[in-house]
Amino acid sequence: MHTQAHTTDYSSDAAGANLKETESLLGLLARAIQQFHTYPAASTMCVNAVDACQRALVQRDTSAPFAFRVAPRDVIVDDVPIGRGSPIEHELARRLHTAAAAQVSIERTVTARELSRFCEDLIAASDRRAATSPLIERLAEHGVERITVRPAYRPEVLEVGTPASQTRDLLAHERRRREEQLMAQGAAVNHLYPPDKGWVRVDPSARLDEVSLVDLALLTGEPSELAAMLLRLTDDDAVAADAHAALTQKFSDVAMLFASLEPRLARVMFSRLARAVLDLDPEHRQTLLRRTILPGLLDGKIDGAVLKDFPDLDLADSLCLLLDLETAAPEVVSAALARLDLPAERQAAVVPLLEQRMQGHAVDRGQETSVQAHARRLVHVDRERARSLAEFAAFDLGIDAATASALRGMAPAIAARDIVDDQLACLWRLTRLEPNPESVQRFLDLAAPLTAQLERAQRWEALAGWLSQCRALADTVREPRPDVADVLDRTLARYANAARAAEIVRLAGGSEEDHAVAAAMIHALGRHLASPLLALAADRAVEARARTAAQILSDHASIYAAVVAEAETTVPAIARVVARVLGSAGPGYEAALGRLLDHADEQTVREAFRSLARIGTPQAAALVSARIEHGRGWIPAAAEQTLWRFPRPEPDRHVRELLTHRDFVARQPDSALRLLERLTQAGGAGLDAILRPLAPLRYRIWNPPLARIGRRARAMLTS
Amino acid sequence: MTTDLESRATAEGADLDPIAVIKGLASLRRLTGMYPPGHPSIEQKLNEVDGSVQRHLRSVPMLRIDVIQGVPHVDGTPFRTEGETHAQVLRELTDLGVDSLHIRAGIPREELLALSEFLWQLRDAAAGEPMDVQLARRQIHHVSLGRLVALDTRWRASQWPDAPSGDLDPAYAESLELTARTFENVTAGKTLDTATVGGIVQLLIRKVAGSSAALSQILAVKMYENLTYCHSVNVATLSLLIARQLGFDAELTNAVGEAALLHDIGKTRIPLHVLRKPGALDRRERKLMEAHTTFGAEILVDVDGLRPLTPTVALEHHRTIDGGGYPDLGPNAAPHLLSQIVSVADIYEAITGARSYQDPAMPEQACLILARLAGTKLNTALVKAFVNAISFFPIGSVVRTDRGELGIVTGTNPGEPLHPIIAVVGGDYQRLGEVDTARRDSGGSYERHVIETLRPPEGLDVSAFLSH
Repeated sequence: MHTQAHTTDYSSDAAGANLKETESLLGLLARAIQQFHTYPAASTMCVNAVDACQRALVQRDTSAPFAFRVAPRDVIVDDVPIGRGSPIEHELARRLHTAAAAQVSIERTVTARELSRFCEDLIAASDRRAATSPLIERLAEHGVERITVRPAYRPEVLEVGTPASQTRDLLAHERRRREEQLMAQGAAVNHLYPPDKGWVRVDPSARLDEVSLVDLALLTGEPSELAAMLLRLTDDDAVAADAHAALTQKFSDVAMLFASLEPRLARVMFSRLARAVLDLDPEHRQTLLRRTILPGLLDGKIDGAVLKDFPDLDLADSLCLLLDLETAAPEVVSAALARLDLPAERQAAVVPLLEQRMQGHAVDRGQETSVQAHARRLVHVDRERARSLAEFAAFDLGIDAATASALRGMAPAIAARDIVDDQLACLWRLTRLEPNPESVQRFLDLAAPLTAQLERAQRWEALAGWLSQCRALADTVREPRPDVADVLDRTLARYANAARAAEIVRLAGGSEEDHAVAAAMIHALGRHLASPLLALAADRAVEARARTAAQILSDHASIYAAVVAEAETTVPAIARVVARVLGSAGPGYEAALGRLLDHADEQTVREAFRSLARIGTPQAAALVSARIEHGRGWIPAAAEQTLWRFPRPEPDRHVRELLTHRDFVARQPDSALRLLERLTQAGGAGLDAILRPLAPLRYRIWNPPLARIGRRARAMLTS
Repeated sequence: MTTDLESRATAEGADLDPIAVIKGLASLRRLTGMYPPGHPSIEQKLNEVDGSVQRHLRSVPMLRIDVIQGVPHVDGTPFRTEGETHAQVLRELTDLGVDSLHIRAGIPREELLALSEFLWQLRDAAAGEPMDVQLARRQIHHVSLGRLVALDTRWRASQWPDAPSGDLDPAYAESLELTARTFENVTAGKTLDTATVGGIVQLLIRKVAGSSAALSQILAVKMYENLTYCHSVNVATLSLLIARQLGFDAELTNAVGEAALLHDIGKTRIPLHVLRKPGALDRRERKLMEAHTTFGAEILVDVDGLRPLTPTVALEHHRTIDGGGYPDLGPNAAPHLLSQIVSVADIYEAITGARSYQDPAMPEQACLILARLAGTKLNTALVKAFVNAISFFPIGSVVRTDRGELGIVTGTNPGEPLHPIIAVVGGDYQRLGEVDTARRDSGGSYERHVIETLRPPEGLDVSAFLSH
């Protein structure tokens, strides 16, 4: 157990100074990771740690990236191991080792955001207890471009078990043959698959010191199994892929390995391969045939050879898939059949099957009327023709009238397209793909002059399209790429200025198409449009515009309410609009409306009452009820009217409660009587408990309104 | 509750110390030699080993300890080794010829004890007898021992020169040189020189695309491994051929030329080892390679003075008309017509170029591949325009007829793309005369058919036949 940090041996002063600087930088990086492990990413501790690290990187003498290799317990810079026993080991080296990183390179221009993401992602990727994505993918996903991590190969152990004695003999035979071949050809050698990744697990009794790809093909023997192994050599998560998918992906390599065997052995293996292809589920089989086997056959690659081992019916079905190609003429089947070079008796068996299918296919092509179409129906597999030069005849590559017309139309079609639209589309696609918020900001900045062109040309629909795309993207990436979403949101906020709000209001009051464009822009700009719209709604100088703006705010109240609720409401015109919008927004804004009930402007208060009734929640009813009880002047009467507009049972509940308040009844007997009458008319039942305390009031003859309510209560009790 | 237990088991399992397990098995072996069966020391050690193994097996069906290049891996994950003691423990195992110990769930304690005894007798075990047989004889059914042999993934490969050799058309050679320099600057992080790009495009339009010699060098099979700049010049020239077929005006022709020349500029950001990797790319490398389209567009949108669609083409040239290809540009993202033009030229160029483990395809074979892709991946009309523009047998192709004659294509017949005019070559590579393979006999059949294109035999000076 190390209790003390290793001190690095510095051989010369200059080198020593450099290493000290490096060690200090690594220490800062380790410390930053430690802070991120302990504190929230936005905390001062994390921010300061990243700042210190970034400063140290910038202050380095060289502009070359700061690079280090990863060992299990230390990091290696210029072949000097650094950091064992220190936080560099525990926070940096061990984590990177667990995250399967072999080398890290940090550019001098790295941003604080990238360093922060690196720390967070490293912590997540090194947590073995959580199923996390690899560090490199995390960094790419988060747009970290200036920190490059080279992965350490994760070895794949390929199980081949105990080779049978015949297999061992075959291996030996094949090895001799291949060695002779290679010697004869003097060929160059490259790695077809990553070196150092694949390890073959053999029985210790097998005398095998090395296993080549061809050996592996023989040892496994099963094409699907071999394909799965090959896939594991290139794809880390291939363990999860099923055998069907593996064979579909690695078919060409399997075929290539089999083809390199001694011809008789190759035939056996190809026959197994054919069986494996036929055993695939129909979807994978069709995909494999269309994408790899049939093209391979036509292109003269070995992939197509597997068809030779298909039974006749399957072969005919497979070859007829070629007819689905757009430019394919029936001769394509003849050409493909010729390429297979089948024995005469098999050809004789397959040709009628093919003709039968091709006739069916020709009929399926529909009721064509041209002579050429008629000729298509008279298809016939011409073996001789296919065997000759004319494979080209298998494809209809002539420039017929339709093609000529299509070609003539291309230049005008390109000219007719709008360049600005195309440029914006390109920028939007880049924005969509880009995980780095700085790059996204750059693309959006580049788009600004283009959208300005759209505005100058009054192409509002195109502008609305751009803004909508940005909004949709911001919503989509909110979770996986919050910093990109923020950039998009900030950009949209910049679009939401007074002039554009006025234009949107104008469009909203226009034709149906204009209205739709305005709606799209409103949705895209979201809450950012609230303040400019509010200002327009309050500007009574242009009455129609103000009305439309207020209408927009109300119609999209759910978007704007949060901003509107915070708006300054000293100006009555604004306050009225705020009250209306909050009422349209639904529950959640009762408190804000409650504040407006104290506004000096009567219309604002009345609007607030209406809005509370529209919201209709118990909280809203409680606010209104309180105004009935404690309001002054005209307010209790207005509140009273408002309360009855609430959905049952809110009015009943509050009226009953008010009538139990002796203070209220004593202060406002007329109001109380009206409420009692209305409650009775509304069919209120079980009122005895309320009426009984009121009945004795009939004796207060010096206060006629009170006596009246008492008498009424008494009458109701006795009836 | 179960989930909690399971997750704890997984967490504990992930932290299983393989050294401790191997060491435990070795200790067991020693203890069984020292004490009688059932002795508390043996029981205690057996409990320890069994405990860790069973805990791990609660979350996975098999415990896999593999020692790869001296590093123990538990279920594929490397385990940190600590110092010489650990290395010694691992060596004790690997010296027995065992690098891999797999234990299946359900293993009883007795089998672990039997395994500890068996492991250190391996040297005396029956030579050549399969290990599972030996284990079964000792009633060990849940354990498999293996030896790990490195997989040799080397494969025979062809090595091609990096660039075209021999006498090149001067304009073509100049365009290659200028493009190479331009691309090198971008690789070095400098800004793309738009003036030079404009100059190259003009050179291609005015000289290269109109030169039979240059076209024959571009269209023919290319016996060199295409570097980005050669490929770019070739694709630009081929795209210009299509543009001519489509009757594009000067502005549009310039736009095609520029976009095609710069379509692969993003490859300057791909590490060379990935770009030139001869074998299969892994998932990360594939992703990186595919990113050249977005890198290209990113580089180009930042450059002032380029034509507006140039970045679009860089972004879209691997997108297909059926919505496939890369990068994923979302739904309804049909590639621009300019991108479709460059795609056709790009595919043809790539197929006729050499790769380290793939010989270049002959031009007619490349045309057949284009034809196969038409309608699904490529625009059919554009494929037809291209094939008809270049003809199946470009001028300068070396061909053989069905009469066994060797010929060099010296001219094409409009409307008869399969039947060019050829100069027949004699045994000593002398010109025997010129024949039109489109000529028909009295019965209306062609007198000759071209049946294949050949690589130029050594010693045959094709240009001498063309200049005749």
